[in-house]
Amino acid sequence: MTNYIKQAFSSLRSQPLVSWVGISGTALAIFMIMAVVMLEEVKTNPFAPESNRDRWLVQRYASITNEAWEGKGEGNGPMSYDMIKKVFYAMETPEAVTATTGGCRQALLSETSGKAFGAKMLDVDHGFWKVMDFSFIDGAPFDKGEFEAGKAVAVLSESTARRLYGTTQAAGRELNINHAPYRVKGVVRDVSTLAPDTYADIWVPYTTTNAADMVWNDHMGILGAIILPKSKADIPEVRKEYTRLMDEYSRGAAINGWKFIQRERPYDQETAVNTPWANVGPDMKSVRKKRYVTWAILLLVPAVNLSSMTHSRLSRRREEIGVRRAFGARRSTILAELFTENLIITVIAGIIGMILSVVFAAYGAESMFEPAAAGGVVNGLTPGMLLSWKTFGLAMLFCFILNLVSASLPAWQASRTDVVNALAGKK
Amino acid sequence: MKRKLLRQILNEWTSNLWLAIELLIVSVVMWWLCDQLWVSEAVYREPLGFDYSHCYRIEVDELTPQSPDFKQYTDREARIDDFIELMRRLEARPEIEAAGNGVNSYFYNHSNSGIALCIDTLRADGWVVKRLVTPGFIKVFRICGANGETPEQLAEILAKSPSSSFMAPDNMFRNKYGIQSMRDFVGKTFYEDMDSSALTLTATYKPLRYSDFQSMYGNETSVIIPILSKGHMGYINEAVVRVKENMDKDFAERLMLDANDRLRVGNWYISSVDSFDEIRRTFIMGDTQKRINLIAGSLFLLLNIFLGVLGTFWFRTSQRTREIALRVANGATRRDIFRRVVSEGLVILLAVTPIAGVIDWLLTHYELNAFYMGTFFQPIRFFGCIILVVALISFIILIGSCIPAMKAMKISPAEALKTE
Repeated sequence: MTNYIKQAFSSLRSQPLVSWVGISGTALAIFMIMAVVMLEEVKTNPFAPESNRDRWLVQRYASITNEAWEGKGEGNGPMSYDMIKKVFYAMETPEAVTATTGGCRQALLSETSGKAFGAKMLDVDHGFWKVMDFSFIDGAPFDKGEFEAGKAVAVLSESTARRLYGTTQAAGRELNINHAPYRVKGVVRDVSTLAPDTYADIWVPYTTTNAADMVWNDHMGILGAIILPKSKADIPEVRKEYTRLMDEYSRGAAINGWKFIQRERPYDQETAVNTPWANVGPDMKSVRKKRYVTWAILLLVPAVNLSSMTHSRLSRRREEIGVRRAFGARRSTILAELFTENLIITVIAGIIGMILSVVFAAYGAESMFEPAAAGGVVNGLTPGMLLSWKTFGLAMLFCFILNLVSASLPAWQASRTDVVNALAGKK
Repeated sequence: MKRKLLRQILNEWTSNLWLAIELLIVSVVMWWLCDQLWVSEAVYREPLGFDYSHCYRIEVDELTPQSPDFKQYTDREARIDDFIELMRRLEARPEIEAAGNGVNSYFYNHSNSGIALCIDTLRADGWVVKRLVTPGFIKVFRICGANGETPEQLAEILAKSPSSSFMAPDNMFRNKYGIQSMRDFVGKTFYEDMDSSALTLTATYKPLRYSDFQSMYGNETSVIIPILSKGHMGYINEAVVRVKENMDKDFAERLMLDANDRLRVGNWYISSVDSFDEIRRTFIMGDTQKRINLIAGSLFLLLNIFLGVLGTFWFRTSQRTREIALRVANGATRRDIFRRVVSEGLVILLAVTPIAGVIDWLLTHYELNAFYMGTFFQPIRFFGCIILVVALISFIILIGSCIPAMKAMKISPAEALKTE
């Protein structure tokens, strides 16, 4: 192996510009692919407080039609409290279930006698704290009893607590939210705007606001739900229970002519982020096709480029290969050596590309990522949100594919070098 | 010269084939990216139909029974009267030019209501957004009539309209039926497809786009339905204002200072003030991001071409040192040498362009490119993108082959041929 590495480096040194071009091309390709992967992964990778994205099931909206509409229309949107209670809260197989208003909304906040300021508020339930993975700095989340009793309690983000009280030790203190008195139940670490299901400055039980009353018929309102199965293996069982409860609920709704259009709900996280519209069902086949075409193009162009470079580099080494063949080296040995040598160069370039993508993501987050929450600004980005073993593995896989595509043909041609012609310097 | 150049390109066919393949792939992909950007830019430049500058959305909420100040209204009308009073106070502020209300109606907002309108056998196509608004809404967003009516005149028409009426964009039947204007339908009665309720068309206005990245030739359109009676006002969930031109500075902050006293009426209070510049920025962020991605993809491909050309010609120049020296010794000028190196890449690009053109045409034939103004193929767009792509790639080839060409120009014949 040491020989391969030495060979790889001396080959790089012999043609510095061509080597630089090759490494830059590979690094650029890996950088682009990693950036594309990160753009998708940041929406699906689990990171606190959305640590359970990999196993949860999401239903943000319901779709409904009525017999009286004679198939000419449908209503789409979040669900009513009644539907949440009868379908989601009635579930027994999941580890936890939560219903929230989906995205945060603006609230007016003030310390009891202080100046009011606007903050992002998310209306949640007690299950929210089980489904999500918040780090409490002070106090604790509100519980089922407090939620059901409509107790005016709130959980604040650490920066909101500091803004209000100058400290994060704020549990038990009083504040006004939308001109109503609340008591701080806990303080949590700030949440990134890239976590759309959790991001807010303040979290309150939706039984203390008007969220449960905002409905446009018995079934449609402003709530969405997330189900957390005990494990990935439990997902089919959870779906089964969901279908049973939904069928039951639909039968009740059918009395007044209502009929639900299911559109394969609830969705896993990947399907949920790729199905943004309530009136259109998921089409993961086309999403994946588009993704693979993008990756293929991002890989193919540099691969052709690198093949050309490798071909040129290897044609310079024809004499060397001829001598080795004359001394009994087998074609397969030469092929393996050239391939490994090229792989080493590709991996070096791959690592550079990956570092570049992380640096770019960290410093260019504002232009690269779309904050899904209503903050409009990307914040709270950590390497842990972007880098996972899966991402790293993908980078290495891309390196391998790039190497395979770019080195195979020239290496195969070089290994088939005719000894006599090669030694005579002929093509 | 030209024959020699072609002969040389043919002699180096294996390495030129790699370059040709790369140029072909990049030409096709670049054409597709260029096509997408072309359409995106064309859509972006279409008139919006409304003016969001100096506009603000004021989030008006109601106290809940949790609040000690909660007022238990004895009748529904008193609640509406308080809301009207809050709007009156807002409109009376010296910095505010106009104020209006709506139900799921403000621009740059995904939460909309839809409506299906028919007349005889004609039915508005696609997704028709129902903008249920007060006359002030028209003045806030400066929506103009199709016959040249000012926003004030259009608002006046809306104020005088019965509640069972609507205003339509002039292009409502344009895409589907080729009916250029809705003016002939003014005064006629339309029917809501779902519940058969009748609505009379009172005026037409210039088309309103859904957002900066949604075309007026697309699937979305909208109609304006008046909110005039107190019965309808109970459903209002939006308040919008237009601020006088020189009074934007700190408007939101100044308004919020009064949020606790002067701008609280009954249960109604103001919880936030957001400028439409910011609302728009957030709303179009996804599309803007898509555009950035397309540009980043194009730059990536061009950089690859640059590296490919640079690497190939650098290597080739090193290999041809003696040949170049011989040509210099035989009287070739440095300019000839430079031109020869640079021309090779350009000739290969010209050779692959017709093949790329055929593939581009196939992409339009199978409807894999951008759809705009009812078609995938617009001759100006198709050929314009090809010309743009060839020009861009030529420029990159020129830069990429410049460095090896300079190297070739510096070759000294005496030095290079001393071993011969």
